[in-house]
Amino acid sequence: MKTRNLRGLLRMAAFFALLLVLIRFANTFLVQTDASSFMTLHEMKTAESIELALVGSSVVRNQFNPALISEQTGLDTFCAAIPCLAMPGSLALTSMLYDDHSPEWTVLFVEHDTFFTELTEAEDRLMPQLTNPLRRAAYLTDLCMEDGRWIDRFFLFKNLHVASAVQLRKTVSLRLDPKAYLREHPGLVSGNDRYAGRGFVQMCLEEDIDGWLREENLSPTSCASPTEPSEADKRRLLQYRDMCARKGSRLLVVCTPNLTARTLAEPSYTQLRENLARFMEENGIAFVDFSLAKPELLPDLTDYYLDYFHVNAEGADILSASFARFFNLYAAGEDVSALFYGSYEEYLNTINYITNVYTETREDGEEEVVRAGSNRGPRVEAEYRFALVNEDGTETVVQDYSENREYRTRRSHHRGKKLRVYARAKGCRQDDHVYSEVELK
Amino acid sequence: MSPFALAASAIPLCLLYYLCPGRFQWMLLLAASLLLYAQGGMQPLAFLVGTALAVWGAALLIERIGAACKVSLSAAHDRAEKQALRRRAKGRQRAVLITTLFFCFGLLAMLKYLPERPLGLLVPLGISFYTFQSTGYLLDVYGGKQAAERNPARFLLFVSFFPQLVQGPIGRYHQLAGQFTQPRRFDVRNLRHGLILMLWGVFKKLVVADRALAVVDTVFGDPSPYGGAVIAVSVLMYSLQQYADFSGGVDMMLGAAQLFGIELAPNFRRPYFAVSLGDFWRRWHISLGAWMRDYVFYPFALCAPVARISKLAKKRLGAPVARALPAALGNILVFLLVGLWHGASMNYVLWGLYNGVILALSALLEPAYKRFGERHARLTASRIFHIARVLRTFVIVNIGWYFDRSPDFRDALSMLARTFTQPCLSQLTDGTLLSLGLTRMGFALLALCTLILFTVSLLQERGVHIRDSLDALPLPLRWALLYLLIGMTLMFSITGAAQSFIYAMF
Repeated sequence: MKTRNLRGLLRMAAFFALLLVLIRFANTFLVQTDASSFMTLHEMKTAESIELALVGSSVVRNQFNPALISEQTGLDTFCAAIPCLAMPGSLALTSMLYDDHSPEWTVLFVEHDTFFTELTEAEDRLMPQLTNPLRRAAYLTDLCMEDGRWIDRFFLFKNLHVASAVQLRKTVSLRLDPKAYLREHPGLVSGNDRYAGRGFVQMCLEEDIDGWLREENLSPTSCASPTEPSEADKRRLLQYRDMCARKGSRLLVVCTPNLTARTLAEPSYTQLRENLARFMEENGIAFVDFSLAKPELLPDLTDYYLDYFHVNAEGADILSASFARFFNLYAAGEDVSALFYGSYEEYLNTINYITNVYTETREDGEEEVVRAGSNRGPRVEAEYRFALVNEDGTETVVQDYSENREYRTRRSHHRGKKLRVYARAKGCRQDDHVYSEVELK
Repeated sequence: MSPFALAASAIPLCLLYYLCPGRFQWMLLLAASLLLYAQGGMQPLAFLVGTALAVWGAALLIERIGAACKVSLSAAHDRAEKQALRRRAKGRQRAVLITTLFFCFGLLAMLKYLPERPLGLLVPLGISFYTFQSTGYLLDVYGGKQAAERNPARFLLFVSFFPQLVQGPIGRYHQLAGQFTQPRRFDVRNLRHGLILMLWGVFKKLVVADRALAVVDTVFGDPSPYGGAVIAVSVLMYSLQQYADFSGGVDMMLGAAQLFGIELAPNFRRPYFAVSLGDFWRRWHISLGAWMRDYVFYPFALCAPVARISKLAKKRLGAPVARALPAALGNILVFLLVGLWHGASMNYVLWGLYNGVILALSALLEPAYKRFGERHARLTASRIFHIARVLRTFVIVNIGWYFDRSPDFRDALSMLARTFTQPCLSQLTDGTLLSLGLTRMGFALLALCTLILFTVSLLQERGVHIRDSLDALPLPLRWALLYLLIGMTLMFSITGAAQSFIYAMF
């Protein structure tokens, strides 16, 4: 009996050991692999020197040009960045970077989503690329203790499996010979995005940001969010600080700038940043909020934005140059406080215009009511004009500029017609580019 | 706590179990069962323990009344005095029994059927199952078939043993108590077979049942846009979902119990291979069927009023009808109760009546079937006839599912009518079918998994012991099959929307 049991147990152990190998294989070769992330990590490992490490999510990968920063700072710069990376991933990625490099500076870029992204795909995708099994286990535990998705992460291939032969070929090619893959696919990421090396992806497109904002109908109610990082993320920030200290790398945490309309629409966003600044100060972490950068340091980037958080390649160069200028002064021990507004109140008060108009519609008895609002500087008062768009594109003003935010019409009276809602700062001349459109029912 | 978590807990627990000295093993099981159940809150635990202790105390009291009566009988002088003593003792025992049953089923009814429960009480997980299990024991003690358990902790383990707690099977004391207390040594075969059965249960639940669920929920949620053909597909899906869900959950639990060397009674025996509705109900939720048979059907069919009705029927309708009448009435009563157990709504009552009436008619027509069988022995012994009976039973059962799954009986009747009068076959090909929550690939996958399920069931029906046969296969082939099953379960399981087990809600 004893021998039978022992033999049976040994066989069972062998069965599960082989199962683990198969799972590991599937988690490596059968999961979709983001080429730019893979190349970033591959290059990070093989780079000769990294003196200035910029760590973060796509706000780093798409917005900070390491070649330009290297040129202006004289430090070999590298963007260790994976799209959507939150705090756990930033920790794991930096510790991996420290295996092969000892950067003089580590700049951790944070934004709203660093703390409030659900720990989903981006974090999961990083997992098979973490080199050390212990690090992978620690990372898995850190993530799963927070959201309990043990099964999804242990069997990564289940949700992230390759969906076609092309994806399978890509994954295997990247794993086996990443350099050859890059040679064969120079326009690596997608039609408009190009992997430019050292972790930087240039987004070579332009977006009509006003048009995009009109579609988004961005209103204060549509983007309320927490104002404090979670306790787990605070703990991770302190871990990050200690890790940098152990490595002898000077840490700077930077909040990246956002589209002004977003900042105005989300009061919790400014509170989060103020709370973050307080937390960093209390814990001896150097912190800079680039949303508060004065125009002499960072010119207005509105025209370069592709969405709320990312600028295109042209904007990235402007932002990178600004960052390099700031960094040179900061690294030299200069007082850089004059380059930034002292508080959000001070910054917001400098905004003397309306960024966008939003609308809400409701029914009130037999009437359809369109209510307008706008995101604008706190001292700006708005006036609204409502105009029906005719079939030939001309407009018929149904309610001219006034403080009245509501337009009422009989239901079905203008069914299918577009109502254009303009806003302008009170007392200013007409400003026709700030408007929103709504289709009447 | 979900059945998945319960089953998963069994794996580390079984290591502790075999490391524990034999005489303490049952205590470990009891502690673990209570601890796991307490994860759902202290109030459900209090109900569980309260029910168990009430039944344990009542059983002991019933036995003591019986014992005291025996002592008194030995001192009694004449027959009349003995009869009076017996009557008095029986009356007291009955009073204890009825009070306890009233308490247990009253609690069940209050928590299950009251639209607004007092004090915001929660429905304890598996309350029906442990109520049936403990009252079954009480009725056995009352009937003199079972000696009362002296140790309340051992009885509590019988009621709370975690693998059977959430969705059965409803165990019998004489089958389980000995198994719990018997010291056990580790046997790798139990571990292997238990894990394979758990894996098979997970496959059935996550890959088959939860996949079929999408179609069922869509169509039964709002049946109005669908013609008879789509409705029929959704009923077939429900058939599959319900079987895979319930039997999958039970397989997980049987497997979990086997890790401890404990053999729970099987709850399913390939029900869709049944040749009659009666046969179906002897294969589906076997433990509930047996409970109803022993504690409702027989006591009712053999009681004096039914005997009187039967006698009356003999005079008016003849002996064959009179012979079948108690069984017919008993079946109607049993299925009415089973229907009510599913829920206090008209569709469940109709579902119960539908099954009960068909079984009653079958009982009444039994002599005619018998004569037909004798006259056409060759035909009735043929495979074609057997398959025809299986298909007929499948159709009858599926008609019943309309009532079981519909939110109300009007919907059920309307869907049933449409199945036969407005088939709208075009909906099977015009894309409607693919708008029900399953893609073409999803349907293909479901078909493949159903084929696997069918093949395994067919082999079992032919007497093949699947796990023993697996053991007999060459190692590489055995491992390959298991890896395939694990791989399919991982890849094709619907974990994102992991649904709770249907019967865990009862």
